[in-house]
This record gives sequence, structure tokens and C-alpha cells, in this order.
Amino acid sequence: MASAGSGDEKAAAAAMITLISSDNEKFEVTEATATLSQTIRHMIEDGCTDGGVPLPNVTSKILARVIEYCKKHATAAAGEEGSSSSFSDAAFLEVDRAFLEELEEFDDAFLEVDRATLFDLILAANYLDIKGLLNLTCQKVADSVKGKTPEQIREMYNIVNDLTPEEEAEIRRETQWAFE
Amino acid sequence: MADVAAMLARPMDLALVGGGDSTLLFWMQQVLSCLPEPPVSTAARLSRGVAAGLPDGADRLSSLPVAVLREIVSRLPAKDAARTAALSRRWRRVWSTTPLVLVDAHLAARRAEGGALRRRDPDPRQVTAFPPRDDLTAAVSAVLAAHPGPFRCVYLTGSPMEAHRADIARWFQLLAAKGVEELIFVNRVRSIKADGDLLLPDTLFSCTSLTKLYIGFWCFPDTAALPRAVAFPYLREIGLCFLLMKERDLAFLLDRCPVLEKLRIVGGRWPVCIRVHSRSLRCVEICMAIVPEITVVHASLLERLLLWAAWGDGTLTSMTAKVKIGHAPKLRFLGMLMPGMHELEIGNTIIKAGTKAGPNTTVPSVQMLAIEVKLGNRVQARMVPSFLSCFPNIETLYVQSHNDNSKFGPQSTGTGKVTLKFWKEAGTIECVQRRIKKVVLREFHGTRSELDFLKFIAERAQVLEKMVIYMTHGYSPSDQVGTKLKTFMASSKWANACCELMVFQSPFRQEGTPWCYIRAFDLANQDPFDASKCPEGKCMS
Repeated sequence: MASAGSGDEKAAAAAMITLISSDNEKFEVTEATATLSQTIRHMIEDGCTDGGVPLPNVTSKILARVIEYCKKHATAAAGEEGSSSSFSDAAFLEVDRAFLEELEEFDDAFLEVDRATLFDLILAANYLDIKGLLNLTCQKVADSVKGKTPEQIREMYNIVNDLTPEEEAEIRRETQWAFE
Repeated sequence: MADVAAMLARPMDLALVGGGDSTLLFWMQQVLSCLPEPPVSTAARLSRGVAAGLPDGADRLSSLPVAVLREIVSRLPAKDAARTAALSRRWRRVWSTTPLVLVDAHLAARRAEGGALRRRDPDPRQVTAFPPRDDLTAAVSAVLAAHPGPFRCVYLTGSPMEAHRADIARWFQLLAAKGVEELIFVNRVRSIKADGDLLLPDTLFSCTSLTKLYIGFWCFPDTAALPRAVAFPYLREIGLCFLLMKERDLAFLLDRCPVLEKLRIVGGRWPVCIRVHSRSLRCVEICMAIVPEITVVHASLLERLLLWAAWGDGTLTSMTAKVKIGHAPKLRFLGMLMPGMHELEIGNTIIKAGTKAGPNTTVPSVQMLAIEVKLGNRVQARMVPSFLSCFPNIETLYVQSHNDNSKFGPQSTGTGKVTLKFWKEAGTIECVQRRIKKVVLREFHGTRSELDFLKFIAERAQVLEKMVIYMTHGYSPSDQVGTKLKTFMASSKWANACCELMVFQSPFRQEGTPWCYIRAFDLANQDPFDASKCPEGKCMS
């Protein structure tokens, strides 16, 4: 968190949350980072985070990655709030844009993971209700099937075709425009 | 810009003035570029690096929760999404229960030799990248019929509908029956007809689940015969683009949208007289249209009243337009106003040259004002102090400096010169003295009257932090005109010695008032008038 500003450090001193992975590893994170997860946000609001938040569905390996993502994006969210002054100007916009580009590069690099990790990240993002991370990881899967035939997708993802030949023919007839 | 004004000044003659291809291309590009971005793209930016299969051959993708699978399918263009239905039984259910996103430009992408689809995304908002085509309507019909709904977004900008009148009626039946939420429907006409385009069926009013609606190049249906009870109870954003529409029908439409937040009119082909009476509207934007009168009667949430190339009635040199502001306690952004053309009325007082500011003639909520003016033209310039006095809390002032010799707008013959003395005689202007932090003057031509105006601001504005000047085309900050400007301003007795003067070359490709549709309509954006980062008409912010 080298890039965190003083505001972030103050918040960090004020409220830390402990997250506990399925394999019992503990992670200390700021509230700002943790509340990117709606699930955790609700737990904090309900006051049930004392003694740590157990996350039985997330391994330490995946939780570490999720926290990495949330830290980066929590800083981004704080930065956006800071720059919404009464008027913007060229200098501000330059900074904003550079920051957004940096964030996009971070996201791209973040997604350079093997297939198993990608699916684990999707499940974690879904369980923890982290909208940005779910969007990003689902977009990755969506992009990977764009322009592909059903056969190619099945092969890519080991999908077993349980449709009868008649059913498949019917689907292809109904959606013929998708195969042209 | 003058050409646009010429065309707009006589809208009924539009086809005669310039019915040619370039006119059509111009208007079509304006309409397409004001449309919202399509929600999905055929570009597969993130497709790299997921090729490796799992060693144990497990199908982890299909075992994701159905809600997640829908998230994935909802990010696919219609064709890609529909092909997932043929993967397996589970995927068939996923596709039919994922709300449809259909962008007709994506249907146009054809499979190239060898089976791979083109990776290039035909951008439906670029007129030349996505030319009109007649072979899309059958595919659109098939998609709308095949998917059970709801339709999250139907985005149709490619088909000239003249030859497909039967399809229009059928499509609207399906859109209404299957619950379309966002509808973007531009009739991709091949020529502009003086008597307007096809009539949009009034089944439009049956699409009651709409949240966002953009329609372009249509005749708006007659609403007189519609039942009073029809409404768009969820509609938040509407774009009326190059329509033929009656004043009565616009009023009816606005009255039937109880939660409408954003209204955009681009290229009105009728004199747009609009009365804003709404508890929900936050942004009204009218671009490139004849707008003889706009009245904000009662708009408790209105934040933005944006006019771009909104001309008045009359001839090119004597256009008038009324802008009446009644109850608008949250109005923060106003412009572009053209003093001398726009007649400003606040409360029930018409603002004239020399009108003294009083509680009944001010709008204290306005923080950002943009004006277009020939600073050397007395007819226009004498209205500037009166306009500024109406908005005592302006923090940012945009001034688009028009060429004094422009044939468009009031002419300066025999009306006397505008000098520094003229500005000094204007007396105390509250916002200039105590509020304005930033002044942006665009299209600086290097005239004496521009310099005098800038000097006046510099010597009066006590809290001015930034003065930003964009040179007009052909000039640069380092040439003679730029140097003269900087020397002149350096010799002024600045009221705030710490104010920063910034002089830039024009970032815009052509002369004229720059505008960015996306910034203007983005309520989170704190400066709707700054288009300096969007020089090609594409929003880069």
C-alpha cells in the first residue's frame, strides 16, 4: 500500500478487520478494503466482526488474491472521492486518467491466472459479493468464448453435451441467426 | 457551425438546403454519437491466457451457480450468447433466463474465412464504420422472436426502416410484450425528407418497462388519441434525436414520465418550445435545434440546463430565443447562453441591459455558467454584465468568443465600440468580484475587445484562481498573438496576484463551440462544458 495517502492511513488506524480463511489463516485489512465486499459490509453493519470474520468458502491462497484486488480498488475509490472538487481542470483529469489506466493495467495483470484460480476467484467474488471483481472475472470468461462455436467452447471447458441430437437440432434451428 | 445554423434556421427547407449525402452524414453522425454506449462488445480484450484446460477434465464452468452463468452470458453479444444455448441442457436454460442484449451492429459481424469471427467491433456510433444495411431486419426479427424476454437492451441503429414497415409494428409488439428496458432505435434513413420520416407506431407507449429510450429519425406518434392513463413509470433517460414532433406531443410525453431524470433533444426538426414542469428531471440538454422558448416552470431537482447550438427564431442575424427560469432551486450548470440572442427571464422579470440585480432576478444556485458572445459587438456585450449579475454565485465561467465579423448573430454596424471603459461602467458584478474562481475563454482571436474583457476580469476578480485561454485555430501561445496576450495580461493589475494564467493552443479539430454529449449527460461529471479532452467528438474523460 505504498501509494496510500494519509487519509487512508488514518482510516486504517481507526478500523481494522480480521478475515479468516477456510484453512485458518488470518488477514488484517482496513475497513475500506473489506467493505468492497457487500457480504462483509453487512456483517460490519450488524456488528458481528469481533474476533474476526470466518470465510469457510475461501482458501488462504484465493483470499490473498481477493484482498490484493480490494486494496487496489479501495485506494481507487478513495482517490475518486478526493478529486471531485467544485471544478475539474486539465491537471486533475490527467491524474484521473493516468490512475484509471494504471487500474486497468492492474486488472489485466490480475487476471493472468490459471483456469482453476479464475473459477475460485469467481466463486469468492460471488460469495463475498464484490461487484467489481465478479464483473472482471465474468468478463474474462465471456471474452474467452466470444466468436467460438459450441464445439470449441465445450472442448475448452470440458463441457459434456447432454442434449439429444433432436434437442440440439431444435436449438440450432431456433437460433440459426447465431450460427451464420 | 454557421452551416449548421443556416440549415437549422429554416428547418422546413432542410432537404432543399442540403439534402445531399454530406448533410445526412453530418446529422446521422451527430445522432449516433449522442447515443449511450452499447452494453456489450464483440471485442474480446481479456480473451488471452484462458486456453489451458484443467488436467482432471472437470467442467468447472458449468458447475458455477446459475446466477454467475447468467452474469457471463449477459456480457456476450446476442450471437455469442445464443450459441451457448447449444452447449448443454443447463446452458440452454441459462440463455433463456438471461435478459437479452441485442445490438444489431453485432449481428452484422460475419464469420470470416476459416471460421473465426472478426475481432473488430463495428462501432454502432460511428456512421462510416457501420453503414446502413438491409439484411439485418430478418435477423433482428428472429432474435426478438427467439428469446422469451425480458429484453435488457435492444440497440438498433443499422436498418433503413422504410422498406420494412411491417417489421416495425411487429417489433414493437414484441418489445412491449417481452418487457424491453433499454431501447435505442434509430431509423437509418438514406435521405432526409422534408416531410419527415416514418411514423413511429404508438405501441411505443405500451413499452411500459422502459428505463432508457433513444429514438432517431422518426415522426413521433400523435398522442392526442392515446388514453390519458398511458405512462412510462420507470423511464429515467430519454433521447429524442432528429425527430419530427409536435409541441403538444412533447408536453404529453414529459407529463407521462414521472421519474424521468435526463432529457436530451438533438437536432430537433421542429421549433422546440419546452416547458419543464417536473419533480424528477435533473438534466435537460438541447443540442442543434431551433429552440424559441424554454421555460423552467417548476423543476425542484433540475441541476443542468444545457444548450448547445440551440438557436432562436428568426433570421441568421436577428434570432431571438427566450429562456425563462422559474422555480429551479438546484440549478447548478447553465449554458451555453448567447447574450443578445437569448432573452433571459427570471421569475417574471425580463433581464435587460442595465437591469439591477435583486432577489427576484437572481438564481443563486448556479455555479457554472457558459456564454457565447462576440465580445466586440455592443448588442451582445452590453448584455453580459446583466447576465452575470443574475448569477451571484458563479465559480466557473466559460466564454466562447465568437468572431466579431461572423455573419451569424447580431451585426455590429453603428452600435459603437466595446472598450475597457465599457466594462468598467458596468459597475459591481457580485460573482466577478467575490465568487469566480475560474474563467475559461475559448477561441481567442486576439482582438482588443477580448483583451479588454480579460483585463476587466483580472482586475476585478478577487478570488480568481485560474484564467484559461484557448487560442483559436492557427494561433499558438508562442506566436505574436499569444505573446501579446501574455504581455498584456502580465501588465494588468490582477485583483488576485496569485491567479494562474494558462494559455493553450486549440485542442479542437475545427473552429466552433466544442461539446461532449457524454460529459454533458454524466451527472457525476463536475464540468459539463469542458470538452478539451474530447477533441474528436469522442469522450476521453
